[in-house]
Amino acid sequence: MTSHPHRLIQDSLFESARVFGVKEAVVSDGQRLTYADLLEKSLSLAASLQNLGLRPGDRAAVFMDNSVDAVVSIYGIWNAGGVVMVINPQTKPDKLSYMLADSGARVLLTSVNLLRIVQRGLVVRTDELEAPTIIVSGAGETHGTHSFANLLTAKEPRDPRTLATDLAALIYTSGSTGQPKGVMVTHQNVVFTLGSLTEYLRLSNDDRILNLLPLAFDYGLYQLLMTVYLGATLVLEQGFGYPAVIEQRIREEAITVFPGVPTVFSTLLGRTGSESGKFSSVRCVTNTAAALSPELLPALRLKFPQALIYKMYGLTECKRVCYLEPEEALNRPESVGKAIPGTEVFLLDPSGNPVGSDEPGILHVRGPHIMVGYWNKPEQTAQMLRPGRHPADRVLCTHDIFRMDKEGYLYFVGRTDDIIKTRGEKVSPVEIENVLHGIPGVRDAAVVGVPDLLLGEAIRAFISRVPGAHVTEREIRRACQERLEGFMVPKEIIFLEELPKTDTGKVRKKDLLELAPIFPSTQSLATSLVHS
Amino acid sequence: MNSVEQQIRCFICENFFADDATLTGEVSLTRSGIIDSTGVMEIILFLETKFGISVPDQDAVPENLDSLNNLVRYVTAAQRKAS
Repeated sequence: MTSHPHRLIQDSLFESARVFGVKEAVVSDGQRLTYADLLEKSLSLAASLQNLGLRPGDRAAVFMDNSVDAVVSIYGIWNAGGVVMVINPQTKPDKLSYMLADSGARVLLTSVNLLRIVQRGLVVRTDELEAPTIIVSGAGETHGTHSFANLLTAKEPRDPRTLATDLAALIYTSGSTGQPKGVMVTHQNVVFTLGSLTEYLRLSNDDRILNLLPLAFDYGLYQLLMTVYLGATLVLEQGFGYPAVIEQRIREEAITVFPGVPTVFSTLLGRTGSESGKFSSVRCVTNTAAALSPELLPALRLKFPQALIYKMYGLTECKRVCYLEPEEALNRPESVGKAIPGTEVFLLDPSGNPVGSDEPGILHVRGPHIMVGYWNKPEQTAQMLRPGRHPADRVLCTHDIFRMDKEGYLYFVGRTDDIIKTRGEKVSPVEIENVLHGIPGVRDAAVVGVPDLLLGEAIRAFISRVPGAHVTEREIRRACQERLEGFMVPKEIIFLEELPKTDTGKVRKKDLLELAPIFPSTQSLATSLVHS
Repeated sequence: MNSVEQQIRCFICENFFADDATLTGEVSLTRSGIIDSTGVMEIILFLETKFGISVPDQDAVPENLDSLNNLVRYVTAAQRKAS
């Protein structure tokens, strides 16, 4: 399809607009945007962003629900030469403020329903940086903000002369320190990865991809990027809260590709049951972020009888590590497969020596998909990126433990950090503990992930109170709800008189994990422990 | 006995910490960030246990569940149908 090599992510938009023109690129909330429309709008927005002062390499944040305007914003920023950072619309003011300050975003594109969060986020800012220019979709010009719609009337932008080695995006991910880290990726990283993913997923421009995941999540963002790369069609939804709506969308839009995380699949299978029939149009189902439980697989096959089901594993730092060929799924139900095309994986022991087959080792990754590093965080970057085989080569240490069988198939063994995976989202216990420690009356707090059928892992918080304090579960939940995204709010809160600690004063999380199953429910557990 | 509206309002404010003063009947619960995807399931569970109605899959759509007004209309109709 291509007439010249794709160097930059947006090159495929120009190409798809040239080849497919009036074909639908994105369908969302009743709007249908063709490739020609998407190109034209994103170029107009790019010109306006440049007029508002966005320079090549400047970061521009997109804080919107999954929508056509979010898509136009993303390509508009690239066409202007900017660096895209998509922020999850569930983000609360404090974290939004942190991310804007950390990235030094010059522009923030948002929508009218989120403006309240933006305003509160800008108030809590304590840094010296200039506040970003704010562009609001769904509203007219107001004092201090620009109307998104009004910015779509400008002419062509100046060529920002972006190179393939320039930064394309900061993708924020949870870190074990509690502060989210911006994963820096270049155009080159992304364009390579798009080729690799679309190759092994066997996708084509005939595909119609349904995306329910936030565009702030690399898995969600790549559904959009793969769509445009191929000249396919993306049907963009705002979440998976309404299974009946998802079902209707799959049928009406003749969806062929359905990416999900285990919570999406259990919600869909759980609520819609067997009476709602099969999705025969779907020919590709992908799962990542957390392991698909073997019990779910037969039901998934019944629901999607024509689909190849892909089990995959990855981390934002390299987008994707490996995938299992669907034809191998029955032979190796526990495996997450082999490295994605054009990349390499290997296992090392903690001293850096190769391990034998079937021996556990730390997974390392090589290839053009590896991030450049974390924005503004050289020390944390150094923990993840190690010297490679030549001066320009770097190897990503995932810190996850795997074993590899004689034929080279990978099996997940465990993590070396205490990151929690809930609903497919990576959550740092420290981030939640920081919020808990800030609540008056809380002396000590520790957060662990416990197995949960629907969520993968559920978040359980253990709290000890300051002597004499009476802080309640409700007050704690409220404080969490105000400061943390919904998926980070603890499902269970358990009060203890003392948290178990090591001699050096560190909370023994292992002891906390072992405590729980002895007791039948949160309430009785809390009661028995407090009174024992 | 509280009205259906009061009971639902109270549940949303208590559980999702929505601001009672600004929670109008038309506010979209998902788009205003009051609830997320799993919040929808919590609301369904609440309706089923509190009002003794069953929410079949085909009814779990924003037109029935995504605002206070929609919820009240849906519960009232379901109760009428059941009686």
